[in-house]
Amino acid sequence: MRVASIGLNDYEQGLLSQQLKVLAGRTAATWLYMGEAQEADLLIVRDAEQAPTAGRGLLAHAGIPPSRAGDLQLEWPLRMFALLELLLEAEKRLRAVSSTHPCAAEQLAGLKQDGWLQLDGRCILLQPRRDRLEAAVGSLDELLDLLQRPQLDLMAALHLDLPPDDGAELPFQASLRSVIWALALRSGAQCARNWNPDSLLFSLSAWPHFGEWEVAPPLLRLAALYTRKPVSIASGCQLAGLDEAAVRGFLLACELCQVGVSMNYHETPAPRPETAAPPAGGLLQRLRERLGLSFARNR
Amino acid sequence: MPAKILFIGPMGAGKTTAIAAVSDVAPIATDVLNTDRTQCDKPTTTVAMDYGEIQLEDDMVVLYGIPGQERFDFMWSILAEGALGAVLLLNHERPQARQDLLDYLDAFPELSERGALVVAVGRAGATPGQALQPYREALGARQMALPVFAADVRRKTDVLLLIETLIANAEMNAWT
Repeated sequence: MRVASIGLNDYEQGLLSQQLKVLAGRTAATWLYMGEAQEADLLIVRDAEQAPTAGRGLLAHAGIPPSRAGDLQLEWPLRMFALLELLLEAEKRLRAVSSTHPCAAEQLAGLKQDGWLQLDGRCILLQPRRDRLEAAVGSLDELLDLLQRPQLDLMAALHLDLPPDDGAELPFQASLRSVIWALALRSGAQCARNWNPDSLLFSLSAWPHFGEWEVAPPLLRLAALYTRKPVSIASGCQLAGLDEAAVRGFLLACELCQVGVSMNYHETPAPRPETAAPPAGGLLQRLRERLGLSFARNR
Repeated sequence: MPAKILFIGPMGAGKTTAIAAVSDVAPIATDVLNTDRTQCDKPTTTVAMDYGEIQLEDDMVVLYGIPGQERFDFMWSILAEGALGAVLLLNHERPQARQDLLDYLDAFPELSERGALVVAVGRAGATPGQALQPYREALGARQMALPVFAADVRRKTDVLLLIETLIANAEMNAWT
């Protein structure tokens, strides 16, 4: 589950992040802090003027009165127990709406029949048997924005008859699996499987289809890691230098795109590796920098 | 001893071109007239190694393009020793391209066992997903998890992605 904030300063964001880590294991879901953002399962709002007015998640007003019926309130300054109560209440409410509501990536991956749907007036044609998707959008980002809305029920929205303007080619065309891949990468926190970050070890039997699917340097590191030996999510975060949502998103994407994910429980949680100094005395890092590879710029 | 990256593959797969795309020095190419046009229809062929360099401040990474002709196979294990990894370039238009993959996996077992091999398939056409399937299946049959890309080595960005993948693998190998 994702929690984001609106109007918190750097200190308050750090405090919130730390308190969430302390509360890990005391709530049913894993809550991941997304930073300052306009959309999450739970939004903690400090600045009433910036609060979104239309359904972008459950709102909790920090130290200010709720602006709409159904919004929550959070004591301010932030206290651990008040935060815990808020998370438990949020879980209750969110579970009531969608206890097992799969994310868009999962729904697309489970689609067996061709069909079309219309979101915000844009037609999206889905052909799972041909691994094709066409849409009346200008870019992949625009498509992902449409598909990532909370509580989207694809099966309910899917039409099985002929789409309007049947035969007219839609401007955006892509492999359906590449869209599922891109969606799942961004859904690591939202589609939180009950994956224990320390006890569950993951391995991949094949590399993702990078190039046909979205690729970025951190994803290359994750693929290299998980194809070498079974590793936990926590170790993946440590070794690849990524946050938990990113690693979960990657593993979810591999699972949904059938890259060959296997999982094994380790009764004794595997020790988290210490962050190692770059190997070869930093040669690889210097090589990256020399070639202008983006991972060097992001580190 | 400087670090090294190998570019391997059959004749005409693009080893010389790939090195030229990233080398800081004009690659030393050893091309002569190709008298075996049945094996590969190109006017010249490389008869020794291509050589290139990527110069770092106090270091250097050497690029070797290893000839694809079998008569040079004695060099393969010597050059593979201690290499950061290898880019295996394949030409999808060759009828025996899938067999080429298997032959090179057998020729460089140490590299493939530590995952230090990136497979780059050239001339994969407009539907790379379809073109790459037989190579992925071949790797799957051997239970080998290696990256496979469609790549045009005339494009520097494609070559850089291959090298970035090798780097990612080298880092993970060192930490696991």
